[in-house]
Amino acid sequence: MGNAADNSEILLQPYELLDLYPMIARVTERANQEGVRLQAGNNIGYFGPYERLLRGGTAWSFWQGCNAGLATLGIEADGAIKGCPSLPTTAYTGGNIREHSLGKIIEETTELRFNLGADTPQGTAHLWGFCKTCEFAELCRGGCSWTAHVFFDKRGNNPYCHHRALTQAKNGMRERVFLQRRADGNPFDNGEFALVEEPINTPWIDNDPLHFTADLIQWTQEWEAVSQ
Amino acid sequence: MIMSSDSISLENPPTTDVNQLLSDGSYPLLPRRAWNSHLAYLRAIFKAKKALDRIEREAPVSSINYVQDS
Repeated sequence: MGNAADNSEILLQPYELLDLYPMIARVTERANQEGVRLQAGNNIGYFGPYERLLRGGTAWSFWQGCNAGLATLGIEADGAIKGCPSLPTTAYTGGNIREHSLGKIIEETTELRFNLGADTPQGTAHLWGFCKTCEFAELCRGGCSWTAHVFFDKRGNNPYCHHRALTQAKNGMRERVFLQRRADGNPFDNGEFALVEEPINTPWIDNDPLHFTADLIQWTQEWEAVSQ
Repeated sequence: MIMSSDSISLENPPTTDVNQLLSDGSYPLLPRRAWNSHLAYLRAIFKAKKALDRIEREAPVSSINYVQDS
């Protein structure tokens, strides 16, 4: 996953989402007031208290699973067809448009069909870890496939989830990731990370100048005035 | 990251209906549904909506007022 795999120290840790999402929510509310429509990316979420605010602000606007191969396609510079432009090449290329028709790739390759059958056992068979046990598992199906895959070399368990971070915190736990295998350096490749689950009061890792906390956010004076 | 098309409100469905027939009577290949059963899909989103109602009620978030669309 590009620069982040090569410089993993710049990554947010899952636990830091607890301070990140209130900030994003505040920015979103301000954007709404100013007439700016904010559209959350696929790796934003999922099912926390700001979910609906971030996804359109109606009672029914919330994440409904990865859309790769359903409403999204990706094509790489050499003609490789994937369900989403972000997905890693090796695991998610269904075929090359120079060799096969788009229809054949969409209809016949497993790489383009992995999001089908959400209401069958196959729809949640890929889930593991926390995501497998989550109350939103059937609809969410592990959040953004790209995000999960580039951390663990397979999809189905996505620690970058606000609901998950809140649930862990409620249980006195937190999660963080650390790099185990570097990316090879090819386009759309990924490294592999390990996931650590630890008590929430464990001292933060040493030498992390980028550790994100709410008190480090530098709101402008105007925003500070509004909040008072 | 691509921009999201994952969370479109029920009031704002995709402009291309997955059930829209082409001129030759066939269905387009895309977009296509993740769900085989529309009833199962509706059950899942109602369950999620109910859970989100609870999560927001229990969270210390007071300033968000949603349009309670049907």
